[in-house]
Amino acid sequence: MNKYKIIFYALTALFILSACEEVIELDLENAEVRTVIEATINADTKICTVHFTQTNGFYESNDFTHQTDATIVLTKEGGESYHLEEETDQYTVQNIDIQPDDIFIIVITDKDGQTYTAQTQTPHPTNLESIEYEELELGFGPDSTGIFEVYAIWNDPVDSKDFYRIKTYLNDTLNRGVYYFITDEFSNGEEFFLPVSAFLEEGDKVQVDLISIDENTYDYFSQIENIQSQGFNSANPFNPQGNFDNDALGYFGIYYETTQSITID
Amino acid sequence: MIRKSLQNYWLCSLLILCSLLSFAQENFTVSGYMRDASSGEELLYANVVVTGTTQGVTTNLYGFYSLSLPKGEHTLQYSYLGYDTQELEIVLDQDIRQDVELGVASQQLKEIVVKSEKENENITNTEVSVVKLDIKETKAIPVLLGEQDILKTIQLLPGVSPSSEGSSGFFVRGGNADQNLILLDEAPVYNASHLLGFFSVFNSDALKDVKLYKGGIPAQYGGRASSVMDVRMKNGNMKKLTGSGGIGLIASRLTLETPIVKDKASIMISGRRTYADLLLQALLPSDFGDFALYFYDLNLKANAKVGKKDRLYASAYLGRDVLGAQGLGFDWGNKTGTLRWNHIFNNKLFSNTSIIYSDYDYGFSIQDSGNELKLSAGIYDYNIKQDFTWYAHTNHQLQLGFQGIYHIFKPSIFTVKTIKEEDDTQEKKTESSDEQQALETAWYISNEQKVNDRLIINYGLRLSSISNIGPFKVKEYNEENEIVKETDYAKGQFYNTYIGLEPRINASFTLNDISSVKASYNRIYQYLHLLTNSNSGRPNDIWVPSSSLVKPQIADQIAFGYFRNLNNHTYQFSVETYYKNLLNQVDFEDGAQTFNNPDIEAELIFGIGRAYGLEFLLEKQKGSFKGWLSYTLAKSERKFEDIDNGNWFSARQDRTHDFSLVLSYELNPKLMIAGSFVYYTGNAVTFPTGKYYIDGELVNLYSRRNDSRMPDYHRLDLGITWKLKERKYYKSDINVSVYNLYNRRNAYSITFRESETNPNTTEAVRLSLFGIVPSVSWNFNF
Repeated sequence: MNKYKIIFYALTALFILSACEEVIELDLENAEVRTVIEATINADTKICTVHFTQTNGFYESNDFTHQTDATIVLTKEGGESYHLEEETDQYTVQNIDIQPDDIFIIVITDKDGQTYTAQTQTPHPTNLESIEYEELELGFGPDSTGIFEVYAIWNDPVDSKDFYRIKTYLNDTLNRGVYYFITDEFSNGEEFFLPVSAFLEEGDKVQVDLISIDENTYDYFSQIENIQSQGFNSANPFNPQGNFDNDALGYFGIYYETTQSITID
Repeated sequence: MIRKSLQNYWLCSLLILCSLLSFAQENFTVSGYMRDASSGEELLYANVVVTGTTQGVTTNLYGFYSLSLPKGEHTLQYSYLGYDTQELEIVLDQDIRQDVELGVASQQLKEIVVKSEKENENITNTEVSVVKLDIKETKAIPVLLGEQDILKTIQLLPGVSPSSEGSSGFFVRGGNADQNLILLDEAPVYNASHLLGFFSVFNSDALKDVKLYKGGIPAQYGGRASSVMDVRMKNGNMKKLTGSGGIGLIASRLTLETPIVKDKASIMISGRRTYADLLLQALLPSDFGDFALYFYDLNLKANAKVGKKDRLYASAYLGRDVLGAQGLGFDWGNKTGTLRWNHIFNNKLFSNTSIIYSDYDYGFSIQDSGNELKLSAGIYDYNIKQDFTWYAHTNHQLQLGFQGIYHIFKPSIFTVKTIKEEDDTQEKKTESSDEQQALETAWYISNEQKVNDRLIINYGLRLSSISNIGPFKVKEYNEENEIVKETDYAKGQFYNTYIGLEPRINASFTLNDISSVKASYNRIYQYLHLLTNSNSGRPNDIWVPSSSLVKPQIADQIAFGYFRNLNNHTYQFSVETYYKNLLNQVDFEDGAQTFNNPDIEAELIFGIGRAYGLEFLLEKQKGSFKGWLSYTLAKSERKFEDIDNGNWFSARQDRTHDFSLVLSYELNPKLMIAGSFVYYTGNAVTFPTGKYYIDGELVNLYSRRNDSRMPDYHRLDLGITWKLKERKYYKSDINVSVYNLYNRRNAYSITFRESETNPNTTEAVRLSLFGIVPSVSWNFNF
């Protein structure tokens, strides 16, 4: 913990004096079990993966029930159809013929005959130009802070509506729970130069994934991001609604991915 | 066209009333001001009664009274709680002016004071659902960190509850936090909170009177659906220089009052500032750089009597919160200013004219290597108000007037300052949406009529309206929140006018000397809406006017009450019940993007609400042992088509049980102990009922809106006030208080996460803010 964090903690502590966090047992009702589908196509590897599960009660374990014996068909509009193979805890298919702007439809039929359908359009791939780091400067105070920030740089294509997700890894560990979603709505065709990771010190290795995503993925994760901020300041919680029908939770999305890493020295 | 019909309506109602009241009378009028003998402060709602009758009147908001009586000799009794009652013999053979000054009841004199016949004022007046606070009395009640706060004391009364732990935000009778009209010297205060709401903007030292209308709201007030809190600042001592102040754990304050010309003009200045940042600065090493963490309040008031018939007042309030460190800054605050002119046209007609300015704004700023990014937003009001009190007849007292408020809404404005080279600064301003303007107007008339010795009815009508004013681009949206149509309005062009007719009626029927029943009905239109998507108020929540999409909120409320005094008026008991119906309530769609969104209106949804309850209050205001017991049983629900399939759901502030007990005991003239205990049902909240994985992260599954409950809240506070030895130039006391004496861990929020101890499960985590918090403050006055 560096001294710049201390000050924020000190300020917070002052506000809340004897504030304290404690794990408590709540009497939470168990809601009905709902179907969860996370279906994605990695357009670079041309593999489609489907996680077909059910929700658990809050006080149940985090192991989720894989729904077996489902029939899953992926169809390219005006093109081929693919049947997904069942594996231990997911369904997959390889060698999909996929190009930007292709529309795909996925139909999942569970063993009881319930069907869930979703459709989405393939995004355009965008390459990460480079990543750079800079020492954080303050307008006042000591000259050398020893704190670094990493920036990601790429050029947004002019002729498409693009959506991005950035994932970062610090020393090969994914920064979990950080949702970084970007749209080019207000900066179409411009060069992006965005800080993606802060509070870094010398010797840290940072990996940045720039993921080009479809609009459905963007919309779905915007909702996830909205409900994941909890606490006294949070909005009313709700269940994010993806592009599947028949009341299924989850989404169907397609993405391209590029990766770079850098070590601060 | 609209304005014309408003005028016609106004003229008509005046004519009707004039003809009603212009019957010949052999009466004369006694009128004047009632004041405090030591400071010259006017006494509001003080009583004047004709001895031996039920005839009487109370002073108005400016301390003025007027009473018409038959020619002849009368004995008048002037009384006010906590003051010695005075009796005066008058001979009425002409209209007379009679100003009266009352002395504060002294300990020795208490026994021989003439028993005021208006001890049953609470029984006979028409006020139902009204809370009055004696600011002096509230000082003994223990509070968080020893900062006296009228907003927190008010929450201990039935029907009023805090928005969260330690908060000065409040809900009245199941209404939303933005449905409370808070007036400081008639100027609306848009955000009455400091520092996450732990403190209110009201510095008790500068205040004279507070009155909260939970229902039966008189026609002269309007604009918020649930309540009106009318706060008045002290005028300033007319007789001599006095001062008061205190040093507490987190803040210090000082108030000075002095006559400019004795008995003619005076001035009051009051300030308060917290010093947490100064303490930290002293404690931390010096290379931390600058940071700020404080709030301050400044109150200023001056007034002058001009001749016998005119009086001028000027008052101002300025308060601000500043938070900043490491190039980041966040500040917010209110400014208000009021100019008032009281004029006595004749002994029956009293006039008040006010010109009011009020604003609330906030700003964020980020500085980095000389570049600056700023975001600011606010609401700015220009307000003109004319009120008349017309003592038309012994049995008819009229209030009439009008009000016009010109609102300017400045939505978030981004300013980016970049320094390319030295002396070459570029500034770029972008507005996320356009500035909006609106004109809110209201005309009102009401009459308090004594029908007979037992029945008093106060009935009135308020005609209010709002018009949006150009320049503005009105957007229409489709289901997908895409803009389908844009209409441009030119500068100064009025468009989209709403008109509301608001009947108000209060009635009191005296059963006997010690008991009465009362009833009230009111309809109120609310034209401003606070858009907030958070569970607690945030400084950056924005106010917007009604528009073609956002219709005015409408509240209808009926209330009934039974009032009874016990044990020779020592105890006052009341029970009230109410039902409130709310139309055009505003909420956000699930997942709405609220921050800096130019198309925020597209994300709004509209619904209805209802709230009902039963309130009990038992109060003891006299003797060395004082206090009250309050209990509320209530329900508050909302219904939105887009939430939970259009079913009724509990509003967040729905609290089934709400109980408070406040007691103070004067052990001896030097030592006073006071305590309070509160208990209420936890807020209605939406807790997860399940979970699932998305992208390798756990996501909570929710079922119905606000279907779960926070744990019940309860807390005991205790305080001791010890009067120190009186010095030659000042008096002082020490107040030691303990907040949350038995260290109850009340939940401020509950969050859900993966268990740290058992990684394969999830757990609920309670955040509690305040354990036991002792504090001490030293207060003085001279």
